[in-house]
Amino acid sequence: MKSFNVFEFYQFMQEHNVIISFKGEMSQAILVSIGDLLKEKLLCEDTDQRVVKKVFFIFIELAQNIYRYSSARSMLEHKQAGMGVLFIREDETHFTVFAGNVLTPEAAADITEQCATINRLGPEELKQRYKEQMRQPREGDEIGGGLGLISIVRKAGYPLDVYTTAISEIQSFLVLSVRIDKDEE
Amino acid sequence: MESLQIARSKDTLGVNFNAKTGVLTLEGSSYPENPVAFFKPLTHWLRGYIQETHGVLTLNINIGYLNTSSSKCLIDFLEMLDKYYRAGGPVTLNWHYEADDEDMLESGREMCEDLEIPCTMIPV
Repeated sequence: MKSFNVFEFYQFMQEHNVIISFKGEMSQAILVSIGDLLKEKLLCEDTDQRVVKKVFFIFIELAQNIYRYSSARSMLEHKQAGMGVLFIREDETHFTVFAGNVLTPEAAADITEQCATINRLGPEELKQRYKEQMRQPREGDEIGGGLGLISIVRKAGYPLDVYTTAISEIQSFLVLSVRIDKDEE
Repeated sequence: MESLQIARSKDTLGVNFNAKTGVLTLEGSSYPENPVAFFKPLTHWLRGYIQETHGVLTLNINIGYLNTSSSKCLIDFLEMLDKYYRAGGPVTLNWHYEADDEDMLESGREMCEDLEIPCTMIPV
């Protein structure tokens, strides 16, 4: 077994300005707790309220994606929970929220395609698409059509970065990330 | 017709629908695991109130944060209210937002812009 070098891990996080990291089963209760931690941390640092709300919004959307769609699942609090990773990095001018989880290659390709489509749209087109999708009937209890992804891009004002790593023929690892500027003016 | 009250939690809205006065309040944040399940009794109550009383309705919204899925639930709720208004129902909609929260003001306006009910945006 490889040695577990905590210092290297720490240094890596430090170099990349990771302010919050989580790996494991994402459930609603955990998401609420990390969301609280995130808000408290950013407000302590005197981050602009509006920026805190944006980071929080995007964090929640991405975290809920993990517990809904991750194909690595387990039981937590008597409910199914999706496994994944979440990182928030803070640079001088912006925050970046990253979310990664295992999916089937088909699902990963589908999300990649949705992101490419959304990233091509300007603000007005995004608004139109958002409003159209909002009025579509649900598929079961889920909102379809990449509505969560559209709202992330609208909130951030930046495109979604997406990349996939193939794990095997039946599994891929998908990472979504988006940037949120600290100062919009 | 009974009133509907749900205590506010961290990830669900506080609900106070008064059957006597027709004043409905929604306040707090909404990002639960299943917003559809949360909104179901609200929609059910509204439908019942409209059918039974044909009465006056005032909806006061004071929401700080909604995830995307909850926004859709709220829009469905507002559309039911709008249908009543268009059929002649006496409906008032007041949307309260934190005075410096431009994003919530924008979201509120956007949610109301396709409704016929006049929506008053009120900074608090």
